[in-house]
Amino acid sequence: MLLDVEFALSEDVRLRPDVCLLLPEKARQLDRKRIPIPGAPDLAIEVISPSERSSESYRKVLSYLKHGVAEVWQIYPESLALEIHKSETRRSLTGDQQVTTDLLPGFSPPLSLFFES
Amino acid sequence: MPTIATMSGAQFDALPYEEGRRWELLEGELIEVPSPTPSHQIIVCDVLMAIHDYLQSRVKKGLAVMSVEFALSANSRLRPDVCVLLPEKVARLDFDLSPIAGAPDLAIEVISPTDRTVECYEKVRAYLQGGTAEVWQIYQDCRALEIYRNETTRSRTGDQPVTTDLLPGFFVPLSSFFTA
Repeated sequence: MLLDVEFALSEDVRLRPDVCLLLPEKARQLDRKRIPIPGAPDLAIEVISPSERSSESYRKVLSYLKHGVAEVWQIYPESLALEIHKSETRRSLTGDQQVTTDLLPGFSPPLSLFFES
Repeated sequence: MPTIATMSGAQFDALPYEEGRRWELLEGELIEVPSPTPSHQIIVCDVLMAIHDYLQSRVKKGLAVMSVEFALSANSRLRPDVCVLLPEKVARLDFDLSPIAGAPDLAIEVISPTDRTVECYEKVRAYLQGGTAEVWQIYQDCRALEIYRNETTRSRTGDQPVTTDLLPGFFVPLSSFFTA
């Protein structure tokens, strides 16, 4: 898991997810001294800030998915909600629903855990 | 962080018309509505025509209209770019009253470059909570459509067909929303 690290998803795409996850296979191949990291993380998580523009947030989601990120999570702090984007499907979680993903077998905290403070 | 202005639905309804057009109201918070650009309105028109043609072909006709205001709750006033009212709602509609009480069956928003992510998201939730069955968000730059329902969201890009249970038999390629 990395915070705020830049990825070179393609020649002219540089994105820095708030949180990202590299699964063991990618973590093994990681050159820890090189920035930006070439390629895509397995999971990219963005916490949506109040000033963000919808067209840009959405473009980022599509760009991550297009370049090989398996899942993009958008966290809406004010709505206490999570949107999970995959290339074909979307899921919306709110309230106390369990956060689960094929990427992290066994991971199933209640969404509220993300908003404890 | 943008400042948040608040008012009640009743105060909002009393705004002078021109001022009211600049805002929507979401749970008492004013949301700025940008002046629509030509590219925005061309998409609105494409979508409206596609759905209008479909509705006209049906025996029981629903209604597709632009920029009509809905009072989704006491302190929410939203004006979807395009909305669809199915025959049952049309039958009960007072054609001379604005805002319309309640929610449309389908609300469609063409996302403007200045729209904020958080507000767009909260509008989708407000429509769904208010009883709208489906909300469509159309992204101009990405030429994409997100179809929100209460539990699921579907994504359409490229030339994928746009279909929905709400409009049985409606089947148009997404590209027909982006003719310009």
